[in-house]
This record gives sequence, C-alpha cells and structure tokens, in this order.
Amino acid sequence: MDLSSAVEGDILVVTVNETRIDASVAIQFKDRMREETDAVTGRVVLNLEQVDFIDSSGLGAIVAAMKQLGTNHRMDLSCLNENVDKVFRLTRMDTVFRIHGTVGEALSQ
Amino acid sequence: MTNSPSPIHIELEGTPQEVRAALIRLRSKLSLPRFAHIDVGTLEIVLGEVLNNVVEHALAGRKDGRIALTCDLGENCWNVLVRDNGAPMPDNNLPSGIAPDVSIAMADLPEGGFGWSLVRMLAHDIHYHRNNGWNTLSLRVDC
Repeated sequence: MDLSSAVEGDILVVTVNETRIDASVAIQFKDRMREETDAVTGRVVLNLEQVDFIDSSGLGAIVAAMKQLGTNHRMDLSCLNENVDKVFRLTRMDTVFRIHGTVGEALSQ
Repeated sequence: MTNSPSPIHIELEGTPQEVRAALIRLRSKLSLPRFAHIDVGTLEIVLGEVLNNVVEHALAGRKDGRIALTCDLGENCWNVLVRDNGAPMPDNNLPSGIAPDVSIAMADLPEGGFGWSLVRMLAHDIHYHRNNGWNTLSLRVDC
C-alpha cells in the first residue's frame, strides 16, 4: 500500500498512490495510515485523487483510520472520483467526513 | 439474431486478491469500444460487495473455494450470475442489507456492514438458490 505524505503548515496531506482500496488491502491501508499519521499535530487531509475504486472494506478502513486519530485530529477527504463518491453518498459517509474537491480547497479551509 | 456481445465469464478462487484481480479483468474487458456508452462503475461496486461477501462468509476457512461470475449485457441492464461452492446463506435467505446508522459519535462509527446494503441499493431482481452444494445468486444492475 503506497501512501505518501506532505506537511502544509499544521495540515498533513496523505496521498494514496494506488488505484484501489479494497478488501485485499484494507488492513494494510489502516496500518500504513497509522504510520503516516503517527506524528500528526493538526488536521489530516486524505487525497484520493488516484483512487478509482473503493469497496465497503476500503470504506471501513478509511473510517478506522479516522477513528484511530482520536477526537483531537480531524480527517478530511479530497478529490473523490465518481465511483468513490457514490460509495460515500450511498452509505451516508459523506455526512461524516468533510469532502473537498481539491487538495487546495481542503488546505484553505 | 441478436447483436448483443457474448456474456463475460470469469472464474476465480475464494480470496480477496482473486476478487481484486477478477474486477480488474472485468474492467479491462469493459474498456472495449463496444461498452464505451455503458456505466460499469455501478456494476463493479455491486460485484465487489457480492464477491467479497462470498469470500468472507460462504468460503471462510476453505482452500477449495471456487466462484464463477457471468455478466450478460441486456437491453438496459447487466444480468449477473454468481455461483460458488461455499456454505449456504444463513437460513437460505439473502442478507437483509439494512444500512448501518452513521449519525452517531465518531468512536462508534461502523467499519463494516455496508456491503449488502450497497448491493440492495444498486441492484434489483435479486434471487438466491442452493443446489447440489452450490450457491447461485442472480441480480440485475442498470447500465
């Protein structure tokens, strides 16, 4: 599971360098997110620009990644493509996360 | 004579890695020009949930699990058939697919249980039967 991160002020942008977050990588995703966000000081933005498929296990792993941050660090999402957005809307997880169209938009708020 | 293309048939073993490979294969087959006007994203979401459910439940703990998937393009929808040699559905019934509540405290948010609710929202004419040690699930997905 290829994740990379960049610090922008007190915001940590974690980019998923994969096209799929599914049942076969859900646990790795959650573990890698824990490593990437270990030293976070503020907000986390998860950049899903390259992801074109997510299943319910992948969705669960994103929820788990947010929960393991605790209540002091918010996790926002950015750049959901059509199919990923559909899964968030149908499960109403779009009401749980703040979803931004671009990373720039996520950083400016 | 009909002009519809022959059905897509994919066989896989019962692991999450095989499900991923099967869906990637399906997407590559559906990237052909003759499918250019067809929505394949919804089909992929439905199949991901159905196949992973088979792997996680019907074929749990099995090393000889087999799944056969057929997608036949109809007039306005995909006619999908998924067969597996795993355990029957509990009580021989389809999962209810009631979506978990997400209007709750963050710490209590569900991390699973969405699979069959997605299937029920995106597919229709869903039927299940058990015969000779095989499960057969049929459903339709609009395209």
